Amino acid sequence: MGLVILFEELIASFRWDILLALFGSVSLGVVIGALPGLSATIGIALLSGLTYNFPTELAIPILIGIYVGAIYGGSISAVLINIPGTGASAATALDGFPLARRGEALKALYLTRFASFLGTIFGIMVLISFTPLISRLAERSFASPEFFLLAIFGIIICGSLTSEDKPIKGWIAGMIGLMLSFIGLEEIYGYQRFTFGQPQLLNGIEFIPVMIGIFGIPQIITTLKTKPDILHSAAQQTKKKMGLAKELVKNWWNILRSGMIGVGVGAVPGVGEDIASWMSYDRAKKSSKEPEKFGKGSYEGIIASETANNACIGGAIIPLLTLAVPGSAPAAVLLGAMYLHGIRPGPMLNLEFPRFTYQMSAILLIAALALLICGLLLSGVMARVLKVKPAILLPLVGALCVVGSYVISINTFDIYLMFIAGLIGFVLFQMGYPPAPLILGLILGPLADSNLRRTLLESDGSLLPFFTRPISLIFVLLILFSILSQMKWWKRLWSRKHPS
Amino acid sequence: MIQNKKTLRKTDLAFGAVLFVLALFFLGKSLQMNREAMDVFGSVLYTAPGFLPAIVSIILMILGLTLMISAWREGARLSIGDFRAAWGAMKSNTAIRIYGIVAMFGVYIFLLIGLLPFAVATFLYLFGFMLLFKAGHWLKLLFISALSSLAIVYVFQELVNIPLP
Repeated sequence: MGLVILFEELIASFRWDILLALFGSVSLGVVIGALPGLSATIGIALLSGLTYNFPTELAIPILIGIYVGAIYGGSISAVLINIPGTGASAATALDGFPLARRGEALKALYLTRFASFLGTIFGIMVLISFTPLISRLAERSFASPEFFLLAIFGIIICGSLTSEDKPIKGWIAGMIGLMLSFIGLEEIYGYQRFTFGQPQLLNGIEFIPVMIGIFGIPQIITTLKTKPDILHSAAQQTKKKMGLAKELVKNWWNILRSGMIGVGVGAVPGVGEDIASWMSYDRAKKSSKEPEKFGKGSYEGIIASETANNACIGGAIIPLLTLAVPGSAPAAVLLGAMYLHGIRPGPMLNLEFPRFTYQMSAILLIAALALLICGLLLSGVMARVLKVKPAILLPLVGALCVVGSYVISINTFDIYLMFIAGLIGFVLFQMGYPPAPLILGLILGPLADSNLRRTLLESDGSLLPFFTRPISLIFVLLILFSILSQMKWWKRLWSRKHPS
Repeated sequence: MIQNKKTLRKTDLAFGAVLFVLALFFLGKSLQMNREAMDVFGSVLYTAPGFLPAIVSIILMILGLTLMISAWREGARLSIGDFRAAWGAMKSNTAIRIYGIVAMFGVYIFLLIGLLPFAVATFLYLFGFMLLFKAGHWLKLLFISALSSLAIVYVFQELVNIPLP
């Protein structure tokens, strides 16, 4: 049944405007992903603003195209100049660049592209198999207490998993995001919260300018604050036969296993493509017959990492669509973009937009095909694009950040907001605070606020509904576990019980 | 992110304190909100507008305190010497480059946009930025800036009908 609907949506998506949008956005995504300093997250954040005026049926394919293209695009610079364009391609650089140096750049690029294509397809298959099941379960069992706890769980888990330093920093970022979401008129009494007499704050803080600023500005400053090194490209290809099909068939199990790792890691809220590619690379090395080749130019290595990071997209979209909890940072930004276009992912999505999961899957499928074709056309061009100096490219990104944040409400205040959010984001980033939980807190704050008060109103102030309803109780336990499992004494206890 | 763990823990200690004070301020504001809502609208505490903000403020205070304690336990201490070192770091080449980037953005956003047509403001910003960061010969940069700003205006304003600042 699911496959039939997917097929119908696939046919419905074969419109010239959607195809043009997908091919264009995948190409742009590849360029964004390939350029060091830009990432899938920045690309989606920027395009969320720039496509605000577009109809939803075009805006969503554009954002999906950017997502798929950028995750792959990182592998191009990883192979050609040994600088992964995105964190997701860091593992690819280990073997991609040595392959390019020994004259197999084109073969490495072809292999990474096919691996990315297969990974995306694998992710889609899992997406259409599991999303309807989880959605049905969520539809039946979710009411106000579950929605409140879901929002808190999303923020806590995202905070725990995205923080490079300490999990507490992720939680602080998430709570700051929640506090920011309270600014403006609240919906029950129309009371002004934390507006400090500023009329611009009455409608609350728009999350798109904050999102663009907090991801874009710190990246621009970080890239330009030191003089960038001269990039050495190794874009040569010897004339010998590439034998791509043979290599892919030989790696069928590697592809399947990496796809499973990618989807699995993607489905865990907040983890994302970077971890997926490293885990898959590590697994491939451990089970390889030639582990000594890893790090010196192994085809297995690049196939494992690229399959996993693109399969992660499908995995990250599963909790995004069913529970409104994104599986990765780009998925968190995608969640914001969906809200902007009136689509509210979560347990009610299936009721409000019954075919949306299949539409997304169909779009992802076409994006994967577009990646295969665009990647082929862009391989040669990218070697030249990568020579563009960051000092030329990044000011342009800055100008686009301005346009992207202005178009949401045609308000200059949003440009100031973007700039201030960017500066605060830079300072927080320097101190080790991840931006993704802050954005998630800002997006999910209203959901948490209204559902907490509704729950307490219905129960006359009693907290019992949080503990007597089974799904609520599971969320309470998950939240407690997510917090306690990060405590030192818990870790000590765990390692004493499980010494291995 | 700051790579030196010792410096990072010192910033944790300072930021934990700042967070605690800010959260305390917002807790006060939230409680004031609750009181007003209960007086004016006759609401009960748990439906009052400041109910969740008060809870989040308390959580932030606890997190700020925990961050401070954890940094303290890891040996972080703040002294006058740290402020001198921070002042020194603020005069480093990297810091000067950061000021340059922020200043260029600041001038573009707060001064040029609104004062000049968007295409002209963007051209001046792009040209100034690229020139400041020595991205190439000035003639080449002039050409790139002019072409880019015109392209942005054409694509967004003319092609997709997006109003520009």
